[in-house]
Amino acid sequence: METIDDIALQDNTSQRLPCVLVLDGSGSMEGNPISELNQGLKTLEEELKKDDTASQRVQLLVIRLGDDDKATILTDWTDAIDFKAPTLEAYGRTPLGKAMELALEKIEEQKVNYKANQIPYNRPWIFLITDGTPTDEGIWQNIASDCVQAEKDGKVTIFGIGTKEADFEKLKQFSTRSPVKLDGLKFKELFLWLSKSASSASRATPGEEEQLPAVNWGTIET
Amino acid sequence: MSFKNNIIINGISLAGFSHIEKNIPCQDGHAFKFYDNKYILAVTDGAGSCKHSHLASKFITEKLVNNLDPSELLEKTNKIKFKLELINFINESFAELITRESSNIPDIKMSDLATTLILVIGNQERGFIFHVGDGAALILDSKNMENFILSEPMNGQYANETYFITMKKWEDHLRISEFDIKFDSIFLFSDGVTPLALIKGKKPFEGFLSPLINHIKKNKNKDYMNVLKNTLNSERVRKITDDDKTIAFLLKSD
Repeated sequence: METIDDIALQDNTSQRLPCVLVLDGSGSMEGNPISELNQGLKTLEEELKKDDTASQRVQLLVIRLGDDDKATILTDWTDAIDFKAPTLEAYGRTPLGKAMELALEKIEEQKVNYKANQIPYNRPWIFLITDGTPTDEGIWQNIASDCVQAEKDGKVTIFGIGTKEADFEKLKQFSTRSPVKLDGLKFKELFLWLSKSASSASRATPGEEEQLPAVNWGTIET
Repeated sequence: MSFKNNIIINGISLAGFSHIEKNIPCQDGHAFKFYDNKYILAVTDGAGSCKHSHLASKFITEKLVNNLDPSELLEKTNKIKFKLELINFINESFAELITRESSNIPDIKMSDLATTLILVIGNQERGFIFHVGDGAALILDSKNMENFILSEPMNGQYANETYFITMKKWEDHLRISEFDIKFDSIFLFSDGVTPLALIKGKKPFEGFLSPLINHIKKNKNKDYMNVLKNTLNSERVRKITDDDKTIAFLLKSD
Protein backbone atom coordinates (compact mmCIF):
# COMPACT_ATOMS: atom_id res chain seq x y z
CA MET A 1 0.00 0.00 0.00
CA GLU A 2 1.25 3.43 -0.92
CA THR A 3 2.23 5.67 2.00
CA ILE A 4 3.64 9.21 2.15
CA ASP A 5 7.25 9.30 0.92
CA ASP A 6 10.00 9.97 3.46
CA ILE A 7 7.62 10.69 6.33
CA ALA A 8 9.21 10.19 9.76
CA LEU A 9 6.92 8.16 11.99
CA GLN A 10 8.27 8.18 15.52
CA ASP A 11 7.00 8.59 19.04
CA ASN A 12 7.87 12.13 20.10
CA THR A 13 6.01 12.17 23.39
CA SER A 14 8.57 10.63 25.78
CA GLN A 15 5.61 9.64 27.95
CA ARG A 16 6.59 7.46 30.91
CA LEU A 17 5.00 4.92 33.23
CA PRO A 18 7.13 4.76 36.41
CA CYS A 19 7.02 1.37 38.08
CA VAL A 20 8.77 0.42 41.35
CA LEU A 21 9.35 -3.20 42.33
CA VAL A 22 9.78 -3.66 46.07
CA LEU A 23 11.11 -7.19 46.44
CA ASP A 24 11.54 -9.31 49.50
CA GLY A 25 15.15 -10.51 49.77
CA SER A 26 14.85 -11.75 53.35
CA GLY A 27 16.30 -15.04 54.59
CA SER A 28 13.02 -16.93 54.29
CA MET A 29 13.06 -16.44 50.51
CA GLU A 30 16.18 -18.65 50.25
CA GLY A 31 16.08 -21.56 47.84
CA ASN A 32 13.33 -21.96 45.28
CA PRO A 33 11.43 -18.74 46.08
CA ILE A 34 14.37 -16.40 45.39
CA SER A 35 15.41 -18.43 42.38
CA GLU A 36 11.88 -18.25 40.88
CA LEU A 37 11.70 -14.53 41.70
CA ASN A 38 14.98 -13.94 39.85
CA GLN A 39 13.73 -15.95 36.86
CA GLY A 40 10.56 -13.87 36.93
CA LEU A 41 12.59 -10.66 36.75
CA LYS A 42 14.38 -11.97 33.67
CA THR A 43 11.01 -12.73 32.09
CA LEU A 44 9.90 -9.17 32.83
CA GLU A 45 13.05 -7.80 31.16
CA GLU A 46 12.56 -9.96 28.05
CA GLU A 47 8.84 -9.27 27.66
CA LEU A 48 9.13 -5.51 28.04
CA LYS A 49 12.01 -5.36 25.56
CA LYS A 50 9.89 -7.20 22.98
CA ASP A 51 7.31 -4.42 23.09
CA ASP A 52 8.46 -1.34 21.17
CA THR A 53 6.17 1.08 22.98
CA ALA A 54 6.45 -0.30 26.50
CA SER A 55 10.23 -0.64 26.26
CA GLN A 56 10.47 3.12 25.72
CA ARG A 57 7.73 4.23 28.07
CA VAL A 58 7.95 1.97 31.13
CA GLN A 59 10.60 2.99 33.66
CA LEU A 60 11.64 0.60 36.38
CA LEU A 61 13.24 0.95 39.80
CA VAL A 62 14.02 -2.12 41.90
CA ILE A 63 14.30 -2.05 45.70
CA ARG A 64 15.44 -5.04 47.73
CA LEU A 65 14.51 -5.39 51.37
CA GLY A 66 16.47 -7.63 53.73
CA ASP A 67 19.73 -7.44 55.67
CA ASP A 68 19.50 -5.95 59.10
CA ASP A 69 16.18 -4.20 58.35
CA LYS A 70 17.51 -2.33 55.35
CA ALA A 71 16.05 -1.27 52.00
CA THR A 72 18.49 -0.97 49.07
CA ILE A 73 18.08 0.26 45.51
CA LEU A 74 19.31 -2.50 43.19
CA THR A 75 18.33 -0.73 39.96
CA ASP A 76 17.74 3.02 39.87
CA TRP A 77 15.24 4.51 37.37
CA THR A 78 15.88 2.82 34.04
CA ASP A 79 13.89 2.72 30.80
CA ALA A 80 12.70 -0.83 30.17
CA ILE A 81 14.73 -0.91 26.98
CA ASP A 82 17.92 -0.60 29.08
CA PHE A 83 16.74 -2.70 32.04
CA LYS A 84 18.96 -5.56 33.15
CA ALA A 85 17.24 -7.82 35.66
CA PRO A 86 19.20 -7.81 38.94
CA THR A 87 19.81 -11.05 40.81
CA LEU A 88 18.56 -10.97 44.39
CA GLU A 89 20.09 -12.83 47.28
CA ALA A 90 18.04 -14.00 50.24
CA TYR A 91 19.29 -13.00 53.67
CA GLY A 92 18.19 -10.83 56.56
CA ARG A 93 14.87 -9.49 57.81
CA THR A 94 11.70 -8.03 56.27
CA PRO A 95 11.57 -4.21 56.61
CA LEU A 96 8.48 -3.66 54.45
CA GLY A 97 7.92 -0.19 55.92
CA LYS A 98 11.40 1.13 55.18
CA ALA A 99 11.28 -0.29 51.66
CA MET A 100 7.92 1.29 50.90
CA GLU A 101 9.07 4.60 52.37
CA LEU A 102 12.00 4.54 49.96
CA ALA A 103 9.66 3.65 47.06
CA LEU A 104 7.38 6.62 47.81
CA GLU A 105 10.39 8.95 48.08
CA LYS A 106 11.88 7.78 44.78
CA ILE A 107 8.55 8.27 43.03
CA GLU A 108 8.13 11.83 44.24
CA GLU A 109 11.75 12.55 43.30
CA GLN A 110 11.13 11.19 39.80
CA LYS A 111 7.97 13.25 39.40
CA VAL A 112 10.06 16.37 40.06
CA ASN A 113 12.46 15.25 37.30
CA TYR A 114 9.60 14.61 34.89
CA LYS A 115 8.10 18.02 35.55
CA ALA A 116 11.46 19.76 35.16
CA ASN A 117 11.94 18.06 31.80
CA GLN A 118 8.28 18.45 30.75
CA ILE A 119 7.86 14.70 30.43
CA PRO A 120 4.24 13.52 30.69
CA TYR A 121 3.72 10.46 32.89
CA ASN A 122 1.09 8.02 34.00
CA ARG A 123 0.18 7.35 37.62
CA PRO A 124 3.17 5.49 39.10
CA TRP A 125 2.90 1.88 40.22
CA ILE A 126 4.50 0.12 43.19
CA PHE A 127 4.55 -3.67 43.38
CA LEU A 128 5.30 -4.96 46.87
CA ILE A 129 6.19 -8.66 46.81
CA THR A 130 6.85 -10.51 50.06
CA ASP A 131 6.74 -13.89 51.76
CA GLY A 132 6.74 -12.64 55.32
CA THR A 133 5.60 -10.21 57.96
CA PRO A 134 7.13 -6.74 58.48
CA THR A 135 9.98 -6.71 60.99
CA ASP A 136 10.52 -2.94 61.18
CA GLU A 137 8.15 -2.72 64.13
CA GLY A 138 7.09 0.79 65.08
CA ILE A 139 7.90 2.01 61.54
CA TRP A 140 5.88 -0.04 59.09
CA GLN A 141 2.49 0.91 60.54
CA ASN A 142 3.08 4.64 59.88
CA ILE A 143 4.48 4.01 56.42
CA ALA A 144 1.54 1.75 55.57
CA SER A 145 -0.80 4.67 56.46
CA ASP A 146 1.30 6.97 54.27
CA CYS A 147 0.95 4.46 51.42
CA VAL A 148 -2.82 4.36 51.73
CA GLN A 149 -2.99 8.15 51.90
CA ALA A 150 -0.76 8.46 48.81
CA GLU A 151 -3.15 6.16 46.94
CA LYS A 152 -6.17 8.15 48.11
CA ASP A 153 -4.48 11.34 46.93
CA GLY A 154 -4.00 9.80 43.49
CA LYS A 155 -0.19 9.89 43.81
CA VAL A 156 0.45 6.21 43.20
CA THR A 157 -1.16 2.80 42.69
CA ILE A 158 0.09 0.06 45.03
CA PHE A 159 -0.22 -3.66 44.42
CA GLY A 160 0.52 -5.99 47.35
CA ILE A 161 1.48 -9.54 46.49
CA GLY A 162 2.38 -12.33 48.93
CA THR A 163 3.36 -15.95 48.80
CA LYS A 164 1.19 -18.24 50.92
CA GLU A 165 3.47 -17.67 53.92
CA ALA A 166 2.96 -13.88 53.86
CA ASP A 167 1.03 -12.03 56.56
CA PHE A 168 -1.93 -10.83 54.51
CA GLU A 169 -3.55 -8.93 57.37
CA LYS A 170 -0.47 -6.68 57.51
CA LEU A 171 0.13 -6.59 53.75
CA LYS A 172 -3.45 -5.37 53.33
CA GLN A 173 -2.61 -2.23 55.29
CA PHE A 174 -0.20 -0.96 52.61
CA SER A 175 -2.81 -0.42 49.92
CA THR A 176 -6.43 0.50 49.29
CA ARG A 177 -6.77 -2.59 47.12
CA SER A 178 -6.77 -6.18 48.37
CA PRO A 179 -3.46 -8.06 48.12
CA VAL A 180 -3.08 -11.07 45.87
CA LYS A 181 -1.87 -14.45 47.13
CA LEU A 182 0.55 -16.00 44.68
CA ASP A 183 -0.34 -19.54 43.61
CA GLY A 184 2.69 -21.63 44.58
CA LEU A 185 5.76 -19.92 43.14
CA LYS A 186 4.19 -18.56 39.95
CA PHE A 187 6.61 -15.64 39.80
CA LYS A 188 7.06 -16.09 36.08
CA GLU A 189 3.30 -15.78 35.45
CA LEU A 190 3.17 -12.80 37.81
CA PHE A 191 5.88 -10.95 35.88
CA LEU A 192 4.33 -11.86 32.52
CA TRP A 193 1.11 -10.28 33.80
CA LEU A 194 3.04 -7.27 35.09
CA SER A 195 4.66 -6.82 31.70
CA LYS A 196 1.29 -7.03 29.88
CA SER A 197 -0.30 -4.63 32.37
CA ALA A 198 2.54 -2.12 32.07
CA SER A 199 2.40 -2.43 28.31
CA SER A 200 -1.29 -1.58 28.17
CA ALA A 201 -1.06 1.17 30.82
CA SER A 202 1.84 2.82 29.01
CA ARG A 203 -0.51 3.25 26.03
CA ALA A 204 -3.45 4.52 28.09
CA THR A 205 -5.02 7.53 26.45
CA PRO A 206 -6.96 10.31 28.15
CA GLY A 207 -10.37 9.25 29.40
CA GLU A 208 -9.50 5.59 29.33
CA GLU A 209 -9.54 3.50 32.47
CA GLU A 210 -6.53 1.30 33.01
CA GLN A 211 -7.76 -2.11 31.90
CA LEU A 212 -5.52 -4.69 33.51
CA PRO A 213 -5.50 -8.28 32.33
CA ALA A 214 -7.14 -10.90 34.57
CA VAL A 215 -4.89 -12.32 37.30
CA ASN A 216 -3.97 -15.90 36.40
CA TRP A 217 -1.21 -16.34 38.96
CA GLY A 218 -2.95 -15.89 42.29
CA THR A 219 -6.10 -15.25 44.25
CA ILE A 220 -7.31 -11.98 45.65
CA GLU A 221 -7.27 -11.96 49.46
CA THR A 222 -10.28 -10.06 50.71
CA MET B 1 -13.26 17.32 -0.21
CA SER B 2 -13.44 21.05 -0.62
CA PHE B 3 -11.08 22.85 -2.88
CA LYS B 4 -11.42 26.45 -3.76
CA ASN B 5 -8.88 28.71 -5.43
CA ASN B 6 -5.62 28.26 -3.55
CA ILE B 7 -7.09 26.69 -0.41
CA ILE B 8 -7.03 22.99 0.42
CA ILE B 9 -9.25 22.12 3.38
CA ASN B 10 -9.95 18.58 4.49
CA GLY B 11 -9.91 16.12 7.38
CA ILE B 12 -9.73 12.47 8.29
CA SER B 13 -10.69 10.44 11.37
CA LEU B 14 -9.53 6.84 11.72
CA ALA B 15 -10.45 4.31 14.37
CA GLY B 16 -7.47 3.23 16.47
CA PHE B 17 -6.10 -0.29 16.17
CA SER B 18 -7.30 -1.28 19.65
CA HIS B 19 -10.79 0.07 18.87
CA ILE B 20 -10.98 -1.92 15.65
CA GLU B 21 -10.00 -5.09 17.52
CA LYS B 22 -12.67 -4.47 20.17
CA ASN B 23 -15.29 -3.38 17.61
CA ILE B 24 -15.52 0.09 19.17
CA PRO B 25 -16.38 2.93 16.74
CA CYS B 26 -13.98 5.80 16.12
CA GLN B 27 -14.60 8.25 18.95
CA ASP B 28 -12.92 11.20 17.22
CA GLY B 29 -14.89 13.64 15.13
CA HIS B 30 -14.03 16.41 12.70
CA ALA B 31 -15.80 18.93 10.50
CA PHE B 32 -14.73 21.95 8.44
CA LYS B 33 -16.14 24.70 6.27
CA PHE B 34 -14.63 27.35 4.03
CA TYR B 35 -16.73 30.15 2.61
CA ASP B 36 -16.47 33.81 1.88
CA ASN B 37 -12.71 33.69 2.62
CA LYS B 38 -13.37 32.45 6.15
CA TYR B 39 -13.07 29.02 7.66
CA ILE B 40 -14.07 26.94 10.64
CA LEU B 41 -12.38 23.65 11.54
CA ALA B 42 -13.32 21.50 14.52
CA VAL B 43 -11.86 18.33 15.99
CA THR B 44 -13.19 16.38 18.98
CA ASP B 45 -11.91 13.30 20.77
CA GLY B 46 -14.48 11.29 22.71
CA ALA B 47 -13.29 9.68 25.96
CA GLY B 48 -12.34 6.04 25.55
CA SER B 49 -14.17 5.00 28.70
CA CYS B 50 -17.49 6.64 27.67
CA LYS B 51 -19.76 4.34 25.75
CA HIS B 52 -21.56 7.07 23.77
CA SER B 53 -18.77 9.60 23.28
CA HIS B 54 -18.64 8.83 19.55
CA LEU B 55 -22.15 10.32 19.22
CA ALA B 56 -21.04 13.55 20.87
CA SER B 57 -17.78 13.90 18.96
CA LYS B 58 -19.52 13.83 15.59
CA PHE B 59 -22.60 15.81 16.63
CA ILE B 60 -20.66 18.65 18.25
CA THR B 61 -18.19 19.19 15.40
CA GLU B 62 -20.95 19.35 12.79
CA LYS B 63 -23.13 21.51 14.97
CA LEU B 64 -20.34 24.04 15.51
CA VAL B 65 -19.21 24.18 11.92
CA ASN B 66 -22.72 24.50 10.54
CA ASN B 67 -24.00 27.07 12.99
CA LEU B 68 -21.22 29.37 14.09
CA ASP B 69 -20.78 32.61 12.20
CA PRO B 70 -17.10 33.51 11.81
CA SER B 71 -18.03 37.11 10.94
CA GLU B 72 -19.30 37.62 14.47
CA LEU B 73 -15.84 36.89 15.77
CA LEU B 74 -13.57 38.16 13.02
CA GLU B 75 -15.31 41.33 11.94
CA LYS B 76 -17.00 42.50 15.09
CA THR B 77 -14.00 41.28 17.13
CA ASN B 78 -16.05 40.87 20.25
CA LYS B 79 -14.10 37.97 21.63
CA ILE B 80 -15.71 37.90 25.07
CA LYS B 81 -19.23 37.95 23.67
CA PHE B 82 -18.34 35.22 21.20
CA LYS B 83 -16.80 33.11 23.95
CA LEU B 84 -19.93 33.32 26.09
CA GLU B 85 -22.12 32.48 23.11
CA LEU B 86 -19.89 29.55 22.24
CA ILE B 87 -20.11 28.14 25.78
CA ASN B 88 -23.90 28.47 25.75
CA PHE B 89 -24.15 26.98 22.29
CA ILE B 90 -22.10 23.92 23.28
CA ASN B 91 -24.13 23.37 26.46
CA GLU B 92 -27.37 23.69 24.51
CA SER B 93 -26.06 21.33 21.83
CA PHE B 94 -25.42 18.64 24.44
CA ALA B 95 -28.93 19.12 25.82
CA GLU B 96 -30.26 18.71 22.28
CA LEU B 97 -28.18 15.58 21.71
CA ILE B 98 -29.41 14.01 24.96
CA THR B 99 -33.03 14.76 24.01
CA ARG B 100 -32.47 13.34 20.54
CA GLU B 101 -30.85 10.13 21.79
CA SER B 102 -32.95 9.52 24.90
CA SER B 103 -35.60 7.56 22.99
CA ASN B 104 -32.91 5.05 21.90
CA ILE B 105 -30.75 5.28 25.04
CA PRO B 106 -33.07 6.06 27.97
CA ASP B 107 -30.31 6.33 30.59
CA ILE B 108 -28.01 8.57 28.53
CA LYS B 109 -26.30 11.32 30.51
CA MET B 110 -23.66 14.00 30.04
CA SER B 111 -20.86 11.92 31.50
CA ASP B 112 -21.42 9.27 28.77
CA LEU B 113 -20.63 11.90 26.15
CA ALA B 114 -17.26 13.21 27.35
CA THR B 115 -15.22 14.76 24.57
CA THR B 116 -12.42 17.26 24.08
CA LEU B 117 -12.67 20.17 21.64
CA ILE B 118 -10.39 22.04 19.27
CA LEU B 119 -11.96 24.78 17.19
CA VAL B 120 -10.21 27.14 14.78
CA ILE B 121 -11.99 30.09 13.20
CA GLY B 122 -10.22 32.54 10.92
CA ASN B 123 -9.59 34.20 7.60
CA GLN B 124 -6.49 34.52 5.43
CA GLU B 125 -4.77 36.88 7.84
CA ARG B 126 -5.85 36.01 11.33
CA GLY B 127 -7.95 33.82 13.54
CA PHE B 128 -8.70 32.24 16.89
CA ILE B 129 -8.20 28.84 18.49
CA PHE B 130 -10.63 27.57 21.13
CA HIS B 131 -9.33 24.51 22.94
CA VAL B 132 -10.39 22.23 25.80
CA GLY B 133 -8.31 19.16 26.66
CA ASP B 134 -5.63 17.38 24.70
CA GLY B 135 -4.88 17.20 21.00
CA ALA B 136 -3.43 20.35 19.43
CA ALA B 137 -4.00 23.17 16.96
CA LEU B 138 -0.99 24.33 14.98
CA ILE B 139 -0.77 27.49 12.86
CA LEU B 140 2.39 27.18 10.82
CA ASP B 141 4.58 28.77 8.19
CA SER B 142 5.75 25.61 6.45
CA LYS B 143 8.72 27.43 4.89
CA ASN B 144 9.96 28.47 8.31
CA MET B 145 8.79 26.02 10.95
CA GLU B 146 10.20 28.12 13.75
CA ASN B 147 7.30 30.44 12.99
CA PHE B 148 4.24 28.87 14.55
CA ILE B 149 1.41 29.28 17.03
CA LEU B 150 0.55 26.13 18.95
CA SER B 151 -2.37 25.42 21.24
CA GLU B 152 -0.76 22.61 23.21
CA PRO B 153 -2.37 19.47 24.60
CA MET B 154 -3.54 20.00 28.16
CA ASN B 155 -3.50 16.96 30.39
CA GLY B 156 -4.31 16.52 34.05
CA GLN B 157 -1.69 15.40 36.56
CA TYR B 158 -1.14 12.22 34.53
CA ALA B 159 -0.70 11.65 30.82
CA ASN B 160 -3.94 9.68 30.59
CA GLU B 161 -6.09 12.40 32.14
CA THR B 162 -7.51 15.41 30.36
CA TYR B 163 -10.43 17.88 30.33
CA PHE B 164 -13.75 17.48 28.52
CA ILE B 165 -16.47 19.90 27.45
CA THR B 166 -18.97 17.81 29.39
CA MET B 167 -17.36 18.51 32.77
CA LYS B 168 -18.88 20.92 35.26
CA LYS B 169 -17.32 24.35 34.76
CA TRP B 170 -15.50 23.13 31.65
CA GLU B 171 -15.25 26.76 30.55
CA ASP B 172 -12.56 27.21 33.22
CA HIS B 173 -10.39 24.97 31.03
CA LEU B 174 -11.25 26.75 27.76
CA ARG B 175 -8.11 28.23 26.29
CA ILE B 176 -8.31 30.89 23.58
CA SER B 177 -5.33 31.81 21.38
CA GLU B 178 -5.35 34.51 18.73
CA PHE B 179 -3.06 34.29 15.70
CA ASP B 180 -1.99 36.82 13.10
CA ILE B 181 1.42 35.46 12.07
CA LYS B 182 2.40 34.72 8.48
CA PHE B 183 1.10 31.20 7.92
CA ASP B 184 0.26 28.80 5.12
CA SER B 185 -0.85 25.74 7.11
CA ILE B 186 -3.38 25.06 9.85
CA PHE B 187 -3.57 21.66 11.52
CA LEU B 188 -5.87 20.27 14.18
CA PHE B 189 -4.70 16.97 15.64
CA SER B 190 -6.42 14.60 18.03
CA ASP B 191 -4.14 13.04 20.66
CA GLY B 192 -3.62 9.93 18.51
CA VAL B 193 -1.63 12.13 16.11
CA THR B 194 0.18 14.54 18.44
CA PRO B 195 2.98 12.02 19.27
CA LEU B 196 3.74 11.90 15.53
CA ALA B 197 3.35 15.58 14.67
CA LEU B 198 4.74 17.39 17.72
CA ILE B 199 7.93 17.13 19.73
CA LYS B 200 6.93 16.54 23.37
CA GLY B 201 3.66 18.35 22.59
CA LYS B 202 5.57 21.64 22.43
CA LYS B 203 6.72 22.26 18.85
CA PRO B 204 6.13 21.01 15.30
CA PHE B 205 8.03 17.91 14.21
CA GLU B 206 9.35 18.76 10.75
CA GLY B 207 10.12 15.13 9.87
CA PHE B 208 6.41 14.38 9.90
CA LEU B 209 4.89 17.69 8.85
CA SER B 210 7.04 18.63 5.83
CA PRO B 211 6.45 15.36 3.94
CA LEU B 212 2.75 15.54 4.85
CA ILE B 213 2.35 19.09 3.56
CA ASN B 214 4.37 18.34 0.41
CA HIS B 215 2.30 15.24 -0.24
CA ILE B 216 -1.01 17.08 0.01
CA LYS B 217 0.09 20.04 -2.10
CA LYS B 218 1.74 17.86 -4.75
CA ASN B 219 -1.27 15.56 -5.07
CA LYS B 220 -4.05 18.02 -4.42
CA ASN B 221 -5.92 16.94 -7.54
CA LYS B 222 -5.44 13.24 -6.84
CA ASP B 223 -6.56 10.83 -4.13
CA TYR B 224 -4.09 12.13 -1.56
CA MET B 225 -6.34 11.27 1.39
CA ASN B 226 -6.13 7.55 0.72
CA VAL B 227 -2.34 7.65 0.91
CA LEU B 228 -2.60 9.65 4.14
CA LYS B 229 -4.99 7.01 5.49
CA ASN B 230 -2.54 4.21 4.59
CA THR B 231 0.23 6.12 6.33
CA LEU B 232 -1.74 6.61 9.55
CA ASN B 233 -2.79 2.97 9.49
CA SER B 234 0.72 1.67 8.89
CA GLU B 235 2.50 -0.81 11.13
CA ARG B 236 5.00 1.85 12.17
CA VAL B 237 2.19 3.97 13.57
CA ARG B 238 0.61 0.97 15.31
CA LYS B 239 3.81 0.63 17.36
CA ILE B 240 3.47 4.21 18.57
CA THR B 241 -0.25 4.56 19.24
CA ASP B 242 -3.35 2.42 19.02
CA ASP B 243 -5.63 5.39 19.68
CA ASP B 244 -8.09 6.99 17.21
CA LYS B 245 -6.39 9.46 14.90
CA THR B 246 -7.75 12.68 13.43
CA ILE B 247 -6.18 15.39 11.33
CA ALA B 248 -8.13 18.37 10.00
CA PHE B 249 -6.19 20.89 7.95
CA LEU B 250 -6.24 23.96 5.79
CA LEU B 251 -3.32 24.62 3.46
CA LYS B 252 -2.68 27.57 1.23
CA SER B 253 -1.23 26.01 -1.89
CA ASP B 254 1.54 27.72 -3.90
